[in-house]
Amino acid sequence: MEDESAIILPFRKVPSDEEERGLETVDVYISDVEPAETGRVLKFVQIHCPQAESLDRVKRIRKVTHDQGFTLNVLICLTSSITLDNLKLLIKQHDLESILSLRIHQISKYPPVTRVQFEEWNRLWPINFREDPRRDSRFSSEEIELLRNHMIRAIKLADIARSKGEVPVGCVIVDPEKAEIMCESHDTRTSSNHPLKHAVLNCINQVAMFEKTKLNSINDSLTPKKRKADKSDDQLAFSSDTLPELNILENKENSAGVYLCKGYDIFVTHEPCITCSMALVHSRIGRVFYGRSNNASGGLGSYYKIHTHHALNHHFKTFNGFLEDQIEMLMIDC
Amino acid sequence: MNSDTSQTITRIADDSEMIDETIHHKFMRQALIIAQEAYDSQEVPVGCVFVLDGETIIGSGRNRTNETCNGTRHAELEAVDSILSTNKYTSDIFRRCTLYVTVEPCVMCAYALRQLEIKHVYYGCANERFGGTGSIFEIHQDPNLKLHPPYPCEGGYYREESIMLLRKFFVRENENGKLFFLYINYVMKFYSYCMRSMK
Ligand SMILES: [Zn+2]
Ligand SMILES: [Zn+2]
Repeated sequence: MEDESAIILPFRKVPSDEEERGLETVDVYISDVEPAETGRVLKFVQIHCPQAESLDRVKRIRKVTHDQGFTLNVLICLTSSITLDNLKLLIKQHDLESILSLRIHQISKYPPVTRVQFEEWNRLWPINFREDPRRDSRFSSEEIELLRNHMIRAIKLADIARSKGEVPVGCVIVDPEKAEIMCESHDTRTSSNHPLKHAVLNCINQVAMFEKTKLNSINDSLTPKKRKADKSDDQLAFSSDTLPELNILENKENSAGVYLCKGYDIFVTHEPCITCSMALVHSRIGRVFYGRSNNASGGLGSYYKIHTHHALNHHFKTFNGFLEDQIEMLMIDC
Repeated sequence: MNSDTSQTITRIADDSEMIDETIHHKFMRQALIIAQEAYDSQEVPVGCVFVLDGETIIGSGRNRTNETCNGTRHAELEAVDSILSTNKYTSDIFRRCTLYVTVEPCVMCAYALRQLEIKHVYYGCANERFGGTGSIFEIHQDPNLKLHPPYPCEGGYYREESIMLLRKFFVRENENGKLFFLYINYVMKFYSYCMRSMK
């Protein structure tokens, strides 16, 4: 086994806002507590003190070691949920005055999502953390070579576009399981006199035409009277609370049809614009690799982070900076 | 099977004596008729019309995602493509166009409309899941996007009628859902079986 952590990636993951978040803190009441009293104190905290969902992910007791041994601290509650006077009164009512001596302490306001955040934020107060394996992005050196070849192909397509007088953006859509290029295209907005003929949209349209032909031939051979693809409800509209029926449609994602790029990778020389980024959501793309950032209208990192937006129903990993020194700067919308 | 909606749409389409109806409502009625067409073709019922100089409809479109196997074929993009494919107009025509669409444009279409430098957009109901002109983002007026000017966008024109069409669509989908799901599963299994046996 090669050591994958030693491989330097030729691209960077475009993080979500959560992954990029720095430490923000919130105030809590804590107190030293004798080991023998912890059971009684925890019971008091659980039953009588205000609870907060944000405290579910932090530990209630921490151990501080020092020269004389160790001290236990107990976290009581958020300072925002009760005044100091009221809390003192509560403590008095339960005969814990002699056991608890309150002071204010800071803990991280948000749960960490990356290991780096966890290691930093955990120093303030211990946090329960389980790394989400889906966030992990490791690549073998063989895989990186394959990815590089696809990116080189996208750059080649951008060169072809330039030689035709088009905006030099190229892209390929790949099925990573078969390591097979599904479709490739470049920007054609100049020759077609159509401002929306961007490389990514062109490529998605091509995959759709390919799928449509395939599906028609299957339908022809099976049931000539009936032709149907999977359904999309993406132009819509309501939350599933308003329309519980929507869930039925979403469950159909497992079949082919409009979610046509499911599991596919796209390699594109420049960061997709907002329109193309959302088109990739509508097509359920698997992963995106791009070279240069699009400082005019980029939807995957520059202006918006459509690939990780919490309100959208499909998320995908995005990597940038891939062979960017070989890609021409582009100051226009792409 | 869709008589209620058809009747409503026809009623509002025919009723020229409607009081208090603005010009925007008149064009939105046309968009609703196109949306009904989508419904009748088993597509998500969203329809739109592009109006030149506030007077003439120069193109219309409706959702075609299922027919085309393409989740990006929304009403707005369909209409734009049909307008440009006639060669009667160049893309700067959209600067003189107002769009009437039954559902708030999604994020994709919202920025597409900005790139076309659309003059004004009116919609029926909000798009809580994908809306790009207020629901999720405000792409129509984001001051950070400097390449193309912002455009005004207003909703609520025949909102109930737009929602009713969608609701009917999903109720119908739900009824057909189970059978349809089984059918697609069968097709896909058979297909992968053929693929495997060919190897
Ligand atoms: Zn684009
Ligand atoms: Zn749309």
